[in-house]
Amino acid sequence: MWSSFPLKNRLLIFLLMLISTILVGSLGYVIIKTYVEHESTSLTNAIFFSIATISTLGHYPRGIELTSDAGKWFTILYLILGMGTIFGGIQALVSPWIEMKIRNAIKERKIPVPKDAHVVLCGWNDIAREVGEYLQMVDIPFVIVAKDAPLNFPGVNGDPGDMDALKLANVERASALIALLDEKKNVVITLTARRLNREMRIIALSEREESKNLLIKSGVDVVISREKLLRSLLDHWIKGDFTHIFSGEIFGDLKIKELSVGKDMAGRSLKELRFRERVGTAIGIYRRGLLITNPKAEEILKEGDIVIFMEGENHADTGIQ
Amino acid sequence: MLILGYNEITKDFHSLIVDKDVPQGDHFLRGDPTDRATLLRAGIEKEDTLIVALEDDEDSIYAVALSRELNPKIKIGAIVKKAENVDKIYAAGADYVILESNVLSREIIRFLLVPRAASFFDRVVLSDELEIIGVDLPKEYEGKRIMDTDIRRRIGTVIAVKRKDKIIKAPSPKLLLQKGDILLFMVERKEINKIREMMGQWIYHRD
Repeated sequence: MWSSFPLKNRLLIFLLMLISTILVGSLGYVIIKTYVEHESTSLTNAIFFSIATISTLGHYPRGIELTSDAGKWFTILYLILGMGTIFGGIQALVSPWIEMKIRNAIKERKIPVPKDAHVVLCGWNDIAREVGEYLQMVDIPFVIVAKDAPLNFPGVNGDPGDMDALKLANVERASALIALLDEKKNVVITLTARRLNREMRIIALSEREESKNLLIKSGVDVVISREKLLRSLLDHWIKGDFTHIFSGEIFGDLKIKELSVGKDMAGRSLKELRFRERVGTAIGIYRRGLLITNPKAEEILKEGDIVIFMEGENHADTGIQ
Repeated sequence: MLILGYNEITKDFHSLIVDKDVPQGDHFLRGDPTDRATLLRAGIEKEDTLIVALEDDEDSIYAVALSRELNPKIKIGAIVKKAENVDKIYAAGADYVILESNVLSREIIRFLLVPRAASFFDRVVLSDELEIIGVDLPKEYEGKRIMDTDIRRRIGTVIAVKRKDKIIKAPSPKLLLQKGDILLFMVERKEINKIREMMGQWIYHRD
């Protein structure tokens, strides 16, 4: 019953009950003192008796206590009633305050978790920070699930391998999930997340190339191998070719983009479409899973093709679609 | 080539690896990679390339500074974990620095936003299927616009032109080619020899 009242009302009810308890006590005291024990008494004595009894003070100054049998029975019953009021009241007043304390300790978050079509970042580290900052810049909603999720981004405090934490992050309706912890944890996260959402894309980080298959079997779509990526960058640098410069300068700034060919473009060649001037330099075409590199200007596009192109300097500021 | 730091990234490079904890073998040297005597024992003075990939960024910075002092001509590539250490390790004398979290986060973003382009990039960087090569501009093309030459038909699309220190990305077909330009192409590995025959020697790639 108590819990259905807000704190302010509870305080009011408690005070009313306290006052009526004291009034009942004082009235009973006066009646028994006057009509049973035939002694004169005062209002002060009556109130003193009531409060001393319900506060379980334990003894009364001389002349105040009830000495008749009826008076003693009244004192006993009144003591039980008074204690009920006091302890019940204190519990009702203190428990919401304790609840509030606990809720504050869990840290209440001001930034809401996105509802759908968002990206779920699992784990909080330098990589998550950089990905988060980028997503914020391009206005893609995301949420971080980590034991120590930061307060300045939307987040859920919890273990990303737990079903409950992932549910709080609305994984059911997310468009992608990125697992940034170690392989063992990433496998658990993926298996858990896949039960909630079959459709979204899952990208997972892996320390070693050999863990790749295990992650894919668990349901990961793209495995990013730290070892392979860093080694290949070093490798290109050692060989002295241009790839390492490119990876920093062009790939790094997302200058390589993709475009899927719809009905409006199908059946026409790159040259006819003036692809180079209007879009960028086509460097590859994915057609039914096969890659055509260095497409000729006369290459005729088919519906469903995906053209990989590089933006030229004059297109550089169009941003990401 | 000399490598400081034995780990997942460096373990398959077939060069001398120096670290405190290395397996037995010909191309391993047990010792502190931040110690002058160890570096000299590894023959740093005679090496042309050095890779620094130690567990701790501070060790890497110190090792780079020390190596630069012992061999002013050596080419140093390094991997660091913290963003703030990139400038420090460049200042210590590194020529090429990879920031781990940066490389990985960019790769993740690519796969998130442009998955096809990312897997394309993957094929270029991570496999040897595709390669970016540089070709010295042949004399007969000097002073011509790209669209007026047969470069695209003979080799492929020019994805960039390196002109002195600048790289002109995705150049316009109207770009006037100049003496000393290096044309960059993205080609399939099996085509490389064909191009080599056609264009004479091509540079910036050594196997």
